[in-house]
Amino acid sequence: MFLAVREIVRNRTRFALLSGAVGLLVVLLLFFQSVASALTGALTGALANQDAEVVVYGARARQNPLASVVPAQTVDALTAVRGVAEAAGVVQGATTAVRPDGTEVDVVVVGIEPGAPGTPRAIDGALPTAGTAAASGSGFDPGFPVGSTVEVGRDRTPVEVTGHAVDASASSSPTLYVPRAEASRLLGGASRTDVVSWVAVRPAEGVEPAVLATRLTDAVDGVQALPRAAAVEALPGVDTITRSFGILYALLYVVVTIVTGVFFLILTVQKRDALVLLRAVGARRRDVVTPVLLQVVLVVGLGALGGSAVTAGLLRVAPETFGGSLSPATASTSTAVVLALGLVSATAAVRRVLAIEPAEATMSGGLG
Amino acid sequence: MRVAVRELWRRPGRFTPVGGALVLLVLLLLVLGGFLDGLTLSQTGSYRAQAGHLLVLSADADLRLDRSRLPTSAAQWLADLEGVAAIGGLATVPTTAGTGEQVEDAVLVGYGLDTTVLPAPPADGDVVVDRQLARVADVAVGDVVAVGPEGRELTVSAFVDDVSQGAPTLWTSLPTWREVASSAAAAGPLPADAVEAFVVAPTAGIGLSTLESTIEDGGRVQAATVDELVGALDVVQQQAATFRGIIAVTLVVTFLVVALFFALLTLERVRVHAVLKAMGARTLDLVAGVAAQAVVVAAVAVLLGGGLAVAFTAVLPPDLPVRLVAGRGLVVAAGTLVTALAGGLFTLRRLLRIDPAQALG
Repeated sequence: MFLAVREIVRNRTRFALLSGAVGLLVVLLLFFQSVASALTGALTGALANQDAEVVVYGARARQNPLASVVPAQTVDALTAVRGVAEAAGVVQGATTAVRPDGTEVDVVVVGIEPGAPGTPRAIDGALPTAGTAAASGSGFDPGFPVGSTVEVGRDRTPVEVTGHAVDASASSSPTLYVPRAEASRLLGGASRTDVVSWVAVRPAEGVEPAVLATRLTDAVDGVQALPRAAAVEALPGVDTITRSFGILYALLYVVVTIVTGVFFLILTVQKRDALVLLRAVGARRRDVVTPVLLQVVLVVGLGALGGSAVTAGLLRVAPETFGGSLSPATASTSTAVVLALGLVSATAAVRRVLAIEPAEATMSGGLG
Repeated sequence: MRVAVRELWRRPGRFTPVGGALVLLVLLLLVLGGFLDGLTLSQTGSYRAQAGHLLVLSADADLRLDRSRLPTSAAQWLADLEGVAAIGGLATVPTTAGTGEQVEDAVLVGYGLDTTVLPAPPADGDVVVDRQLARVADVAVGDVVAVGPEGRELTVSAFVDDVSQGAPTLWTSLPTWREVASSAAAAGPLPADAVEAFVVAPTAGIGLSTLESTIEDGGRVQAATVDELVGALDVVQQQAATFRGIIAVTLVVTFLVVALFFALLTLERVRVHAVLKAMGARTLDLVAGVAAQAVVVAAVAVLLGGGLAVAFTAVLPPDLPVRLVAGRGLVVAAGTLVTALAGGLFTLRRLLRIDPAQALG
């Protein structure tokens, strides 16, 4: 312990460089995780946090709410299937809205039957009625505050926000929940009333959503029903985001491991003479290996903690850029993984140290 | 400097650790750049397919195709303007397309004007298909693809490259587009007498900026080049800023890694450097040697990392938005070399402090 810390203090520049590099790599890692989490949450919130356990799309929609079209009369056919407690059509489409400060933003309008399946599970405030909406931010955009009035669609129809739908954004955009009849009007004059985008289904008590989904797909022509969790996973973009960021995480973990491992290997080679001497004067293998591992823990640990602190600061000051949705559990896990990889990376250095024989001190050139 | 380069040649193993770390960092930089370019290119294909032409959008569209609506009657007014050689409508709708059981996300585009990328609009009922769709679904010329919720069957007449718009695109005549689009979404379809934009080809000798001014005169519409439209896409700009920030931080990591390793190498060779100084070598010679080593190691890492990145991205699934672009590769290479040089020179202070007397022990 004493030797390990003294060496770090005496050679603080080189250890600080390694710690800094690890810290920045941790910043990148946590930043990726925050962006991925915010993107996924903003894409899936509307579906994941609505109260229907089964989602029904048009058969050719490829589980995409924006590409799905279901005839309105299909809602009645679905309701008639055994095991269905309640079903309601949902209309979903993209348009623009003007905030009270005059800025225009892309929004998704979701038309629901307030209180029926498809309604967000958590709304702070009132359910939407004619002329009002419940709004959700998107993770990168706080959305619209309760009490504000926004102008929606090409006709700039004023809509008062009377409720906050919690974590219920669709397509990574601020989302407005309005009564279904209002949605068609807000999304464009040519909108159809004979179709809905998808149907939200609440199973009867004791009916498994997965079983009911299969039954609905089989019983009603032209639809594909999915349990809510499967529908969330199948949303366009979710799988691509998960895999793309997975590649970046893997690359970062490899870089952290290699940089740390190579640093401690070079350091061990450079101080080999001193280690031989220590062994010759009676130090046990454990006495020379422990300082190496301790240094790994201190340097990588400090880097990881510093990186986590910097990331937390960045997320706090610029949530619209970084997403601001990094959970402490995710940050802790990533930090622990980086630390574990740091210890694994020190294997080569530790093997070199273990191979040192005290007798080398007596050999020609043994101490350089 | 000659000694330094010789050392690299004779004892490459000494530089393998820093070289290996740099190869991985170059790989990371190139993959990050690949994601940036892949995301940008895969979201702007229907714009870039209009290269060399102007796009005319409604005045309130804020240069966004999805926010624009123009009456088809505006075509005649535009065609009569001086400098306009040809004009065609443009309209898009996100939907699905596929063959048999395999259905993929797609964007159906109705168009009325050929470009250097697009052939002349196909006959009604035919469709020109983004080759990206052929990569994810089994589609060939002459095949029938079912498009939209009602599975309207369109015959593939040709393929075009690099025109994805968040999903593979399918290009068809405006009448066919209107037929499919009217049932493609439950809300917000384009009215029957409207398009999203007009694509305008200038007459020979007329510059795009001149034509842009002519069209915008009076403020009835907005006209813009492809680059201006791509630049107005918030999502593209936001992700570009994010990825550039990430790449910059990765370059700082590269600097730290190179600085760290050359600091260790310099420390190891203090006595050698002292001997060289005692024999008359100037500090500048030592600095030049370290700089040369840093640049050579970085150059080799760029080559190996580049090769690794090409191999790595080649085995990624085709639906992931990763594209290695030569220009980005050159920027990464230059950035890595400059950063490595700066990292190598981090040891400058230590080299300056070496006293020739240290050669005596």
